[in-house]
Amino acid sequence: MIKYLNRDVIILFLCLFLSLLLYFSSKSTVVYSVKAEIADFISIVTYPQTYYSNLMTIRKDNEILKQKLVQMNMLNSELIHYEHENSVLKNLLDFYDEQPWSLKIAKVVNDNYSYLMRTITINLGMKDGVESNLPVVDINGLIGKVEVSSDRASKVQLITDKNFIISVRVGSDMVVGEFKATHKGLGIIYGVRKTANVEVGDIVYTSGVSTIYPSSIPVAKVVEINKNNDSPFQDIEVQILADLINFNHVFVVL
Amino acid sequence: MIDIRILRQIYIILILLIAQFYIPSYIISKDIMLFPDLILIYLVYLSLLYERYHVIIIGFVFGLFQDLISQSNLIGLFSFSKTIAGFMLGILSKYDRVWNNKIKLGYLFLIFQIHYIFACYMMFDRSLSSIAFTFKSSILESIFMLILLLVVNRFILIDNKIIK
Repeated sequence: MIKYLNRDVIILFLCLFLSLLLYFSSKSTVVYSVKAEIADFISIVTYPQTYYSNLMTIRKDNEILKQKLVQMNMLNSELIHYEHENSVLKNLLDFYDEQPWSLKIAKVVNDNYSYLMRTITINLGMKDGVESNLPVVDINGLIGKVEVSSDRASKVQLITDKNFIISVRVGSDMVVGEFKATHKGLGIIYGVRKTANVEVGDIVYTSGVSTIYPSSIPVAKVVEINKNNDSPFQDIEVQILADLINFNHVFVVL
Repeated sequence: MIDIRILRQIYIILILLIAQFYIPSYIISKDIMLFPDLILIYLVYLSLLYERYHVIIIGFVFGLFQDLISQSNLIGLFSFSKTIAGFMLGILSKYDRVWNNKIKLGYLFLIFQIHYIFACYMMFDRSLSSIAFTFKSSILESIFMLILLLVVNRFILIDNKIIK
């Protein structure tokens, strides 16, 4: 029975195959429409598979796009950083060109904040002509001085260091006083007589009395003046001009 | 030496093909015409005489001839539908003594229906006629063919009646 069924089925399929072969070899429009409908039917039947494979493709694409997005974000951050650095370097270059002193630009490679000692490390050393006690400035004003110098790096004592005292001039009379940092970027000018004409907003400059600092380097700006005390000197509170938070590049005055 | 039975079959086939070529169609509405399919009726008769695989092959060959005489641009149409009809008629011959006349008639109608569904589907252009029209035509053709078969069975097939 199975044998006969197989024979019948084989002959059936053979005849059907030949018939369809003949039918679909025709160039009639009817055959084209039947072909189109069969194609539609097959597309409907295979839709779940196509949908699933599309889904997998979309998932893969999504992963690739996510990776690309992360890469682009990183690139974007890098570009923003470069833009910022470019702007900073432009400012530094302008500052460099304007100054009468001989400057050497240095990159801050490390900083060290302790209670008493406040220092930074720069990437210039004795091989670059940088020695101890050379003043260090940024585009706003005095930052400190070179404390110790090695071949390729130097340690800079910051203006905010407790041991840092500097001779300065202030007011319209350019009277001499002594600057000392206190806290949070502020400092006090000692030794200015009460008769001296000092006003809030005046810029404090280095006096040039010291052998370390040349004269006229901006140091700070007067923010408060107190003359109501028993002393013959007035208390002048100042705001340090140099940017002591974001160190990137500084200049060593040679 | 060719067997007399084969010769007789060849004569009958030739006569049927010529008759099929010249037989008139019956127009029942402006878009539906009914064609008497003598070859299909003869195939039903042959299914009682021969084994199923013979009927399948005969159906395929008859269909091919019918394609050639009816529409040469769609060769394969009737050979396809008559091959299926031949396969299904094989079951009819097997249960000839088991089934009663009503079942046989119902089964024959089913065979005609399937035959004409395939034939109409593969014949009509879907851009000009709807699928509903295909079904309508196939049903009407099947009914018409069943009536024709009953007539043939009553008046022509004397010894080997399909519906006894």
